[in-house]
Amino acid sequence: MRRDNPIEGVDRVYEVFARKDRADRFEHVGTVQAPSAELARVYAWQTYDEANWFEMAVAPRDAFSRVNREEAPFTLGGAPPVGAGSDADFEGPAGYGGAPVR
Amino acid sequence: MSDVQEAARSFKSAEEVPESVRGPLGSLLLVLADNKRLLGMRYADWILGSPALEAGIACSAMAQDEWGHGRTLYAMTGDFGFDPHHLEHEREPGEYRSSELLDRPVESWPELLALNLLFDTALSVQFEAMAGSSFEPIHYKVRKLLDEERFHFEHGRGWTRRLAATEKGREGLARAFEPVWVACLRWFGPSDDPLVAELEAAGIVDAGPDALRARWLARVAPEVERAGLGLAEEAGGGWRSATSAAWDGDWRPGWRRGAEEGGPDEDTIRRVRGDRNRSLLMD
Repeated sequence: MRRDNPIEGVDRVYEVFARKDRADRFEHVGTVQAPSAELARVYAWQTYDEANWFEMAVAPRDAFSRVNREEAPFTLGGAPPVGAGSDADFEGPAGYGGAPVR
Repeated sequence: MSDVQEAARSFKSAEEVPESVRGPLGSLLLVLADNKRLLGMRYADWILGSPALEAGIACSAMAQDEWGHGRTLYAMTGDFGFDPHHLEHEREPGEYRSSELLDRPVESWPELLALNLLFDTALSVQFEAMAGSSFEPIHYKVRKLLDEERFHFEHGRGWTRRLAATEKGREGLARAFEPVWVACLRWFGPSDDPLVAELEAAGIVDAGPDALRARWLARVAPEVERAGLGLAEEAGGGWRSATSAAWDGDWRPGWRRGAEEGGPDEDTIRRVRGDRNRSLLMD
């Protein structure tokens, strides 16, 4: 089973947002795949280091609610998110608590 | 802070540091620089071939961070009687003061995590002890370094938790963490380390080996406990290591390692020294 594999684990897609200045709005700068919000933060900070960000935040893609389109936000042509199902399907690796990010 | 006369003083430059403290401080800076440089190389070995693309990027970032820290520290040693150019580019493996943990390439991801979570944190704990140092020129550098290290710790912690979630992962962690754990305890030095005593008395560092070991334990023990590795247990509101460190007669305080021959492997040192670029080096 995939969940028994310590390396493959269960990844979730996180959307990464950042702003350069307090006065700026957040911009969407990219995505990372990670097994936890903690690693998502690390990956985001180290991957999208093109600016000296004032603030950066990550959110799991499946936490976004659709408003006017059928497909999930941030997907092209309605393709399913990479590596993860819906919020309800998500289970963290056994024993890790697997708490979805609030 | 215990030594009132000395702690009240502060040193705005290396020249102001008392003669008796210059040697120990220079040694500490060199030990830290060598460990940063070698650790960076060990991270760099996992930029490609780590379990996830993102983890490879993290290793790349951590490697760059470590080399940045190393370069800053080597430059500082110049004020304490060392020649930074010689230190960086002209030494033999046996002259490096990096931990024996970094002598060989890392064979497995759990081993890299052990260095990441345990040893990198030991270095950070040592730097934290200089955040309010009487040697003022180091303040800003320590702050910047610790800012970056926060993410190294989170990386090590996040991956340790991930592996610990499975039986197989936990076994890998247990094998990899045990030797690193013992070496980290030892790295802070014996309780009566003479060099650290000088540094503490002069307010260069705010704590000695035992206190730093306790701070390190407080940082990493909850994670290894959570991972079920049996290396530490809670004791009276703090943490106690299941094993204790031992120093035989070979221990060299100014090196933070034993006198056993060797040092890092030749190939790593060739890369660390930048041998490939030797003809391009400018003074």
